[in-house]
Amino acid sequence: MNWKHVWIVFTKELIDTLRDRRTWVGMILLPLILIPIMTLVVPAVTEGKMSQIQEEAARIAVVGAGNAPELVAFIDASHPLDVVEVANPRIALEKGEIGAILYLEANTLTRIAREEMVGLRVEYDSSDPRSDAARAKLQWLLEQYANQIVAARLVARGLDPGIIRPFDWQIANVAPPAKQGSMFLSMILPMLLAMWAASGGMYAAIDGGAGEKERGTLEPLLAAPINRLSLVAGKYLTVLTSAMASAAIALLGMLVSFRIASTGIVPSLANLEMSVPVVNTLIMFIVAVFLAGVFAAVELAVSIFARSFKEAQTYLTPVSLVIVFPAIFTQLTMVNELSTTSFLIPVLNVIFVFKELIMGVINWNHIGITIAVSAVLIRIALTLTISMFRKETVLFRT
Amino acid sequence: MVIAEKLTKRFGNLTAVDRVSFQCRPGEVLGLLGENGAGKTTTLRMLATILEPSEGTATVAGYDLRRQPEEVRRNIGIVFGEGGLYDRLTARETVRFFGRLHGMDDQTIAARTDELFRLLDLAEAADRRTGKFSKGMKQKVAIARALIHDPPVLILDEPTAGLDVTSSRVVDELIRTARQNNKAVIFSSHIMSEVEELCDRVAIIHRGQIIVTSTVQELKAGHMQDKFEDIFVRLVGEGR
Repeated sequence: MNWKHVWIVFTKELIDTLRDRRTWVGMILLPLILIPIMTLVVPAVTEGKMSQIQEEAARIAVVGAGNAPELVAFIDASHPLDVVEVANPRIALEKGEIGAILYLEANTLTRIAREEMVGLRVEYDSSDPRSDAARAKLQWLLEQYANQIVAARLVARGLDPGIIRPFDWQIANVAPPAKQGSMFLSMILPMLLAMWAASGGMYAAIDGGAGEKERGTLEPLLAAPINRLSLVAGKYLTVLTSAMASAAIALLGMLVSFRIASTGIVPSLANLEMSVPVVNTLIMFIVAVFLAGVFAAVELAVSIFARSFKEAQTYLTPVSLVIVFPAIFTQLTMVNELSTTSFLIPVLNVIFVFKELIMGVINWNHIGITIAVSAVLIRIALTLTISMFRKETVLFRT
Repeated sequence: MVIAEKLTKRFGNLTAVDRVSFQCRPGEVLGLLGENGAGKTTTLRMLATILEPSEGTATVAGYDLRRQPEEVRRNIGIVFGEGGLYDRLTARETVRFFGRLHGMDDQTIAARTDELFRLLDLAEAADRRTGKFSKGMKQKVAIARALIHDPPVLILDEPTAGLDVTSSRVVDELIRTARQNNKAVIFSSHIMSEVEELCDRVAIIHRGQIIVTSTVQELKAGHMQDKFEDIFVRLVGEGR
C-alpha cells in the first residue's frame, strides 16, 4: 500500500462527496432534524394524549338506571365519570361517543339490601384507549361502591371493616425520572444511531464504485499508476469518514433532543441529560465507528459490483433494513436480561450496547466483544471489497 | 514505442481479441480501425493495463505489460470514449488529481496545467466544475488529464465519438501535435475520413483479428481504389 496514493484518492473523493448535495441532506440535515422529532415529538404527542384521556371525565351510559338510581348518582357525582343518556348505547360505544356501558339488573338495590349476589355487566371497546380508560375508571368506582357495601355489612354484624384488609399497600415507583425517560429512548435511539452509522457512507460508496463506472472515470483511474489496494483504501476511508460524520451528527441530534427535553417539554423525558453522560456518548461513537467500518466495506463492494448509480442504489437501500429489523425485533428486550454471548451477534450487539449506554450502563466486557466482532467483520468485508476491485468480470460487468 | 505480440483476450468462450500484433513507433500515429464490437476497445484496454491479456503480451515504452504494469501506466496517457470526468471537480482539480497519482509535485502540475489549458483554450474554464461543460469542453479536459505527465505513448479510444466538428478538430490537432512531439499514438475509430487523414498506418481489426496492417496509400494502391471506405468495406466483407 502506498499511503501517499491513499491520501491523494481520499482527499479527492472527500471533496467530491462534500460537494454532493445528497450528502448534506441525507447525512447531516436529516439526522439533525429527524432524531429530535422521533425522540421528542412522538412521546410528547402520545403522552399528551394519554394524560388528556386520564384527566377528562369519561362518558358512560347506564342501561337500567332505574334499577339502582343511588348507584348511578354515585357514579355521576364522581369526578372521573359522567353518566349520559343515549338512544342506542351499543352504537354510541362503537362510534366512540361514550366510553363504556353499565348494565344494571332489575331490583339491584333491593337485592343488595337482601345480601344477594347481583350481576353487573360492563361493555367497552379494548381497541379504543379512551374506552379502556373509561372501563378502568368505572371498575375502580364500582369497587369503591362495593367496599362501602361490605363495610356497612360488617358494621351491621358488629365487626371492624378493617379485618378484610390484611395489607396496607404501599407501592412506589423507585425508577428515577431519568431512567423512566431513557427506557423509552432505549427502544428507538439505538436503531436510529445504528442506522446512520451504517448508511451514512452510502452516497460516497455509490459514487466511488458504480459512479466511476457510470461516468467513465474508472478506466483512466485504473490506467493511472496506483495499485488497487491503495485505491480501495482511499475510497474506503472516504466512505468511512462520511459514515463517521453521519454517526457523529446523529449523536449530536441525540444530545440536542436531550437539551430540548431538559426544558420539560415532555415531562417524563425532562431529566435525560443526567442519564447519558459525555463518556457514554463517546463510547457510543467509537462503537458506531466500528459498525460504520463494516457497512462501509460492504457498501463499497456492492457499489463496484453494480453497473450504474441506480443499480447500486437498488441494492443498497435495503441495507438500513439490516439495522431496522433486528432493532424492532429486540425493542422490548431489556439489557439486564442479556447474556454475554448475545453480544457475539453482529449488528444486534451494537444496538444492545447503545441501549446499555443510553440506560447509563457501561459494561466493558460487552463493549469489548462488540468492537472485536465488528473488527473481524471489517477484516472479512474488506477482503471481499479488495477482491472485487481486482476482478475484471466485476469491473467491466456487462 | 508500442509492440503488441499476439495479444489475446477471452471472456468465457468468446475470444474478443485473437492474437493481435502490431507496432507503433515514436512519432507515428497508428489507427485501429474496425466495426463496433470488433475488439478495438478490448485491445486498447489491454494496452492500458486495465484488462489482463489471456495470452500474448505487449511492450509499452520498453516495459512489459504483464511484468511491469505500473511502469507501463507511468508512460501512457489515455482518453477512452467521452471524457470520463468527475462532475463535481473543477477542470484544474481533475488534472491535478491525476498529476499527483503520477507522482508530480503540485508546482509542476500547476505549471503544466496552465500550459495545457492555454493550448486547449480552457484557461477561462479552469476553475469551474466540469459537470456543466459541453461535450467538447469535457473532452478537452480529458485530453489535458491524459497529457499532464507528458507520456511518450497515447492511447485514444474513439476520442471524437459524439463530438461536434469543432471539438473533433481539437482532438485531431492534439494527435498531430503529439506526432510532432515524437509520441507514439494509437487511436481507434470507425470514422474513415478521420483515420485516412491522421494515420501514418492503419490496422484493420475484424472479429478480434487484425486482417490488414498498412499505410493508407499502400492500401489505396494495392486495391486500385481511391475511396478508403470502399477498401475497408471490401476487406471486412472478405473477412466474413
